[in-house]
Amino acid sequence: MSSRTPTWRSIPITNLGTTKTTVLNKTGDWRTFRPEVDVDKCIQCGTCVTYCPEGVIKIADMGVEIDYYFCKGCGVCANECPVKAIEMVKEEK
Amino acid sequence: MSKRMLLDGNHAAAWAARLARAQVIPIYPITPQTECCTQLSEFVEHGEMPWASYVTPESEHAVMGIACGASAAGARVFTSSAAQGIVFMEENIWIAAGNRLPIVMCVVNRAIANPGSLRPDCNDSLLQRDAGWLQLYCEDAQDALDTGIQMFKICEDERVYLPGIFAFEGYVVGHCAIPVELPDPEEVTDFLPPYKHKFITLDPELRKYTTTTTPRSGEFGTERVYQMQVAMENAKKVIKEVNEDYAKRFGRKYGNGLIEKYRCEDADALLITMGSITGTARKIVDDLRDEGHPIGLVKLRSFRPFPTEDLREAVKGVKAVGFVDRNRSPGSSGGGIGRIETANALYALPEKPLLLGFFVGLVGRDVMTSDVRFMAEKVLKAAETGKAEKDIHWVQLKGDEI
Amino acid sequence: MTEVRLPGHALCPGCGGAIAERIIYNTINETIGKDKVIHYGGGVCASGGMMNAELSSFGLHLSGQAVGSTGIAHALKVRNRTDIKVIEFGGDGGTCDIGFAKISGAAERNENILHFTMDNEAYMNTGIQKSSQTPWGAWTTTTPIGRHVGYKKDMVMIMAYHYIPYVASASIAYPTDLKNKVKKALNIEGFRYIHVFAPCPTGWRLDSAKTVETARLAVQSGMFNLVEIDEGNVKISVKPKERLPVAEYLRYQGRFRHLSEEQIKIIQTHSDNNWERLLSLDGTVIKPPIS
Repeated sequence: MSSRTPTWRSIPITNLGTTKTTVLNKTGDWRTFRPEVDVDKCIQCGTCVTYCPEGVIKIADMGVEIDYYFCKGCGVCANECPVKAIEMVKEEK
Repeated sequence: MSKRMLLDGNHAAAWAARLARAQVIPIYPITPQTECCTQLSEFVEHGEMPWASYVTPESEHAVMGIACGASAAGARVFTSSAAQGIVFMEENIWIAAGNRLPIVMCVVNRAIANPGSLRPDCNDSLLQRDAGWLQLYCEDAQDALDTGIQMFKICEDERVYLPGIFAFEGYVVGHCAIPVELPDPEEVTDFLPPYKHKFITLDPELRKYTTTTTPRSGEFGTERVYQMQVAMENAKKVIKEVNEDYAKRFGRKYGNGLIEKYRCEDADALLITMGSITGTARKIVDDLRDEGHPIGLVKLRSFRPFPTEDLREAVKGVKAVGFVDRNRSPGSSGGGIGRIETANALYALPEKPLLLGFFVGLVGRDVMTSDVRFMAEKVLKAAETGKAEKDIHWVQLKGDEI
Repeated sequence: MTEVRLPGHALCPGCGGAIAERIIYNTINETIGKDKVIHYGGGVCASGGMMNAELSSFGLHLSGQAVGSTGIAHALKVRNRTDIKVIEFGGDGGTCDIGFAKISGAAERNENILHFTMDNEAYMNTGIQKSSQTPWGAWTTTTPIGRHVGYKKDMVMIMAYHYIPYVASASIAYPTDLKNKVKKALNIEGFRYIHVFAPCPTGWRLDSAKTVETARLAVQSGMFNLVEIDEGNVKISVKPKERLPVAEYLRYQGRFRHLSEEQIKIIQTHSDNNWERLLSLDGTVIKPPIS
């Protein structure tokens, strides 16, 4: 074992750990479709921001920006967009 | 000022919680513990415990859940239950120990159904021997009061941080009133400072963002269990220290904290008892000693942590030992739970005494002086003859043993 | 809007519960701040985001609904920190089935907790088993032909008859309504219960993109109704102008695919009867015998 491996001496006695341990999960790897935003159609109403289950959409200077590291490609944003500015496109990989 | 009151075990346990300044008390009534439950509600409702919050949950499962939440959020918790209630809260008992929350529970021993009774046997508290709770057994109401107060100090020691049970038999101890000396409340507060858990940070004073959920706790499972084992070893030291400290301040000592030896000097035979049977056994040992028999008595006060080292030391030079089990375990490797643990503790000794096991007082049957005398004589006979006629005796069985 | 819950959680893509959690956590942060809350959660789908949220949180097993949080509330009381609020998330299984006695007990004692039920209409985390909130006719792994006794027991009315200060039902498809209810509830003392409809694309055999739309159709067809009972005053929050036929709601969901025309008619009757009953209660007051 390397010296960095946690041992019974080093881990806290209760399983109360701090949060933010899951920011290392690249949940973006889960998706088969990715949302593509048509910035010209987008009216920045914020509907997609409200409904995203991951919370990875933010209003940007033009349209919205999506954090693809975490986006799972569920498609709720595309389905709810009132002006149909988001399209679910198949991932190339 | 200390004062003397006529108290039975249940009321003594309630007084222990009051003197220890328990802050959150979730408790559900069950015979034979009901008086402890109602006495505490009177203390709180009449303003005699202004620092406390009394909760009336709808079941024992809720009791232990509330205890876990309250302890994690920084309050000192006391509760109490028996038999069916303990078994109902079993799920949360394990969670409390795994979360290292120093909850103190008074178990008023009662036989778990079936066969059940309102009267005592010790299976309900012994059942928790794998869960990671400390267990100390009390022989009378004074013992219950003192051990109850000490339990908080032991469990909240940072070398320990495990929940603890102090147990006594219902009716025999729970409803039997004797004069009890209550220490001065201020002196108790000096002995037992306010609760502050060093590691749980759900505490509103320390506002770090932390989280724990039970299903996710298994990642370092083996290591966490090992930590609990280490805490149990530490507890042996801590129990002894607290026993000494308490004796200095309040004048009452319970052996070395883990076991209490009575007339064991040059004894050939030893009887090991837990709980109220110890009182009867002391008298029988006195009688037998007067008749010239070399017998001694060991009171096992601590069942968890099991005092392996102390027992090994106590049986040096002894020829035969008998464990008095007021509990049952049908199909076990031989005898009751106490005998099994003792056998394991003595196994490594190059020279060990004969070990007999006695089932007595099961499902609430009263243990008479004649029963204790019978057991003591069997152990003496084994010590004299060098062999035990039988390893396990069912002392009060109606009918023959096959 | 600051995100209280950081991404990277393990809930399914399109999870209704994930959407509800986000709305609730962010509203709480805007109203009282995430420093002023301790969060209790049980069950995985219901509180799956808890471990990623920048909140102090604690969980027992899912059967411990309302008990862990009661303990926390009492500890805060004895430590004179009642400025910190206790919130709790539970699933429909944890709240309405295994933890039903606990919720009832805590409500009866009026413990100072704000409870959210994440209703995805089955025991989803263990793989889609039926719960008391599973609607009549739905497929689950323990009701494979959709036949089981029971209608969705009305948790809102059951909790209202415990005479607690605030009960409401909410839905992810009406986020403003949900936000307003959360804000209102945060300012009330005592036991508050909010039942949140959160569709589960995995368990309902639904395209994950349709989660929010399904929740909207549920309200518009009367399969889930938004109600608020504040100090006993019953008020329907959303009255659809035109009630859609339930077939509109049922058709996207794989769990209803096996239904016959007959059975769809029965479900329509349930929905209509429920709506009639609610309309008759709208505007009435549910008060305890002695006020």
